[in-house]
Amino acid sequence: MQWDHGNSRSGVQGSGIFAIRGNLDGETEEEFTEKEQFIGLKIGDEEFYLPIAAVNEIVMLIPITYVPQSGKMIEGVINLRGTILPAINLRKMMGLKKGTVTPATRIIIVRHNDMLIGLIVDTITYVHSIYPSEIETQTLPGKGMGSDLVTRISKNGSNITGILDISKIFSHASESAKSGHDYENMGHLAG
Amino acid sequence: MGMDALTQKAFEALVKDILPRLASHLSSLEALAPESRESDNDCRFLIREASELLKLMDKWSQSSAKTDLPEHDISEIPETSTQEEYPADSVTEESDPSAEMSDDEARRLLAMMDGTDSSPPTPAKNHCDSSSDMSDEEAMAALAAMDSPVQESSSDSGDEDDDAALKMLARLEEEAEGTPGATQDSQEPSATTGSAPAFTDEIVEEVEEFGESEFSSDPDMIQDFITNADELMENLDTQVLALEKSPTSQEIINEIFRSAHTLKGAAGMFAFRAIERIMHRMENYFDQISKGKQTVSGAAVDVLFSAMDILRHLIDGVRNGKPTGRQTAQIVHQLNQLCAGTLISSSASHASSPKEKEEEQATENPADDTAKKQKQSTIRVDLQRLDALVNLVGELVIDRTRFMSIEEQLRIKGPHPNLAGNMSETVQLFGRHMNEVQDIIMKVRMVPIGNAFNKYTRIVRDLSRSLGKEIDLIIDGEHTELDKTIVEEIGDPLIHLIRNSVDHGIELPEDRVSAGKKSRGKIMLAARQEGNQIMITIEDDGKGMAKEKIRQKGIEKGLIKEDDNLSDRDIFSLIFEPGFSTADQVTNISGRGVGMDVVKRQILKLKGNIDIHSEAGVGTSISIQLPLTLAIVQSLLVKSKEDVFAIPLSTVVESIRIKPSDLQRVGDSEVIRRRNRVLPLFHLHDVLDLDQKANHFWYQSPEHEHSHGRRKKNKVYEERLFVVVVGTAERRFGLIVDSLLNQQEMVIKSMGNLMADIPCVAGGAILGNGEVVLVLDIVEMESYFRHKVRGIQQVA
Repeated sequence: MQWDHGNSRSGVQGSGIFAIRGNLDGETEEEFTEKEQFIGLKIGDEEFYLPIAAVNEIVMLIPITYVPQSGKMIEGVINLRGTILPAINLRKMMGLKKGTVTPATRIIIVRHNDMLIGLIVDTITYVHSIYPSEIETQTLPGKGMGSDLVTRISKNGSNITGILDISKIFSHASESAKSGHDYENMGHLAG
Repeated sequence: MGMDALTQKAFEALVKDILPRLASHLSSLEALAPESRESDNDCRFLIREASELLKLMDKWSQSSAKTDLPEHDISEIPETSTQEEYPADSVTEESDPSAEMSDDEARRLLAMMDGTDSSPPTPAKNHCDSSSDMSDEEAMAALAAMDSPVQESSSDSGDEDDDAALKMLARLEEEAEGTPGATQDSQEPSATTGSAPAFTDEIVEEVEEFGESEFSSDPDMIQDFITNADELMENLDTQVLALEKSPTSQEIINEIFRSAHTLKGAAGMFAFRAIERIMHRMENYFDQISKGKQTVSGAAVDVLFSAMDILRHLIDGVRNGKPTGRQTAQIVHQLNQLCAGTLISSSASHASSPKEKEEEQATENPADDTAKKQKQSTIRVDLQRLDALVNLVGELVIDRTRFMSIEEQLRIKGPHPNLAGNMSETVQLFGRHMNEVQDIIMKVRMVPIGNAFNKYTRIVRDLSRSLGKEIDLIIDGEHTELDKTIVEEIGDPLIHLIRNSVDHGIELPEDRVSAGKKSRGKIMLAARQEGNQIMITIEDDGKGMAKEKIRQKGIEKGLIKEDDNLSDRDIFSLIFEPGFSTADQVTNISGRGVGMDVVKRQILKLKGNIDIHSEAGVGTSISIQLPLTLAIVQSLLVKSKEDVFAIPLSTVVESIRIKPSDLQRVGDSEVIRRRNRVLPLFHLHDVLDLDQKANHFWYQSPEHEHSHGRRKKNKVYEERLFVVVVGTAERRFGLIVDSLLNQQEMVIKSMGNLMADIPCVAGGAILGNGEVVLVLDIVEMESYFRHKVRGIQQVA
């Protein structure tokens, strides 16, 4: 169930497509273009958006197997109906402290470059459809990984929300996976 | 050498090719230049010729004429076939068809076609001489009367096409006869002589690799051809080698002849002209051998092998669907030379050959069953489908484990003991059947390793000849079976190792004699099964590896220190380091220092292991351990702290319980004494740095939290230690774990690209309860230890 914009044209989700022409709510011409859909999710107290096109499915928090020396961003591996895939600890990637596991905790399975990974989030909120005009490409001035992950910002209504860049998440995760097991880091073996 | 299905096919193809062209040309001629009677006549002449030929062939394919003509008549074949092809061209181009050619030249060419050289006049040539004057009808008749063709099954479909072609011909002829001046001069020499230069070009230059063929558009047919060709080439390889050893064995020659012939026929059918041509010459040569007119020399075998190399190349071209552009003229010439010089006797002895030919044909048809008596009936299956099946069985294995745990729970706490009993029974039965299914499915993927081995004989032979060494390659255990993927992957590393043995291992004959050895070196390539593993050993009786030299190089490269006290094994394993070579000279065979590390990596990738042993002056022996299959592994589940890990049973030597007091410390390390060997010990939780888990692992599922509490059982730790002794036969170490759980069959799965390089972890597997367990990579773990803690090895 990978959605792309082409499919969403005919689907229920494509509400943005046949938006009413004209000036009914005072929108200008350019805003008749297609809306992009996002899943709202919370990491810590903050809400982020994740492009729905990359999302494969969302599952409850299933048992995670710890993988030693896999890099600290990788929480471990999960069994998604027979496929083993890594789960990324987004809290850690954002530089947050350890939180508590609640019934709302979810793993969002995303696909990127034919690779599947799970993103552990504290909760998911809604599906948002946003006009391209309400999205700004913007890098954040903050330091650390968290601000790195956001390359676009939604200014839908009164809220300003960061949109997570999946390719960034992937590259951070794989960097972390590499650094997690440098030969040098195996120093504890020599001791 | 007989007229056969191939030649017949070629005829049909040629004629069919020409007819439409002629027809269209005729009509265009009539339209354009009604006055050009001459060209018209040419056309009509050719059409008539073609129709005659087709009729003859039709008759011929129905009757099974047994009459044999003397061999030299066969020199007609190329001539006649080109007669049909080239005049057509010349007509199409409206060129003057009177290109002249001296009789001498024609004779020389014709002789060449049959593999003669032009020097002394031979009976065959005399015959050629006369034949160029022979009417075409006579030639046809001669052809028709030649030994009966071998009918390929496909010729049935060809016949239908023939009928169609005949009908068209009849129509054309009606038209032709309506025109005045349509009578033909059947002695017209221009057709014959005009064709000859064109044919020369074909011989001296190149033939097109892919001709037109009605089959060549069918990918399935092509696929069949390729698989067939691969098999045949392999067979040829082995047989030619065997022939070199026993040059007079009629059985081998027949076998070769069969393979060569089948391949030629198939190539002809698809109009792979280059393959066909080479194959044809080879067949000629084998034919002469079988008739005792030629003996097999080393040089001849060289030519045959290089011809076979080119053939392989060409077959690859077919596989890739595009011509390779490989030159074939030279090899054809060489093959011709091979056959040459015996032609004088050939014409004489061929008169008495009908019986032999019959024999050939007798063996021809049941070739498939007689060729490989030991081969059972087989069916080709798409490997992808098979892989899907194997995967599915893997899933079923997981399901079975799950069933078993449900069954256990039902039995223990279920309210219906009867039902639970039934369930147990069913589950047990299911398990038994699953085992069988698994066994069979695994066997399906197994192929004898001999497939990979056979080509080495050839490599050793070629190499040793070029190096001036005398080497026997002795192959043992080629029937040992293992997974197809492994057989495919192990080929290149083995080639490398064997080349090394030939190049570096075995000395030159004179050196060997002065060292008091037999002048002939010996390389032993053996495979055997040991439990779940295959052991492949490559042993040579050469000069062995220069231990001191390797040590020096190692110090030079900074891999070891001057004062390191290393075992022989450690020194030898230095050659697996990247860029390590002790060869003073870089040859084109080896010495560049790339290779052994690649070999090792490849073998590790296959979850195998490589070990090397060498003794100066006595030889080197390399042993490779490989798993039988990669899909399902028996594993031992162990627990360290609260984490469960799986250790492939293939790497487990034993598991023991020791008292903490058995532990001895050497420096920083713990060791125990076990059967007179000192065994280094590692705590699994140290190796994997499990203490980090507390910091790193945030999302623990509730059950895990519980097990956290049980972790205080340090008393057990005090009283008894579980040690899993792992490693290869020679290099072992012990892993201290908290408890041993059970043995299970599991399917190792990749955990995604992101997790591909996690140290000491080979992959994940899914347990019956759906949880993922990590499968430890003992080989990798061992190499870590070797890199990091060589000190312990010294003690050991």
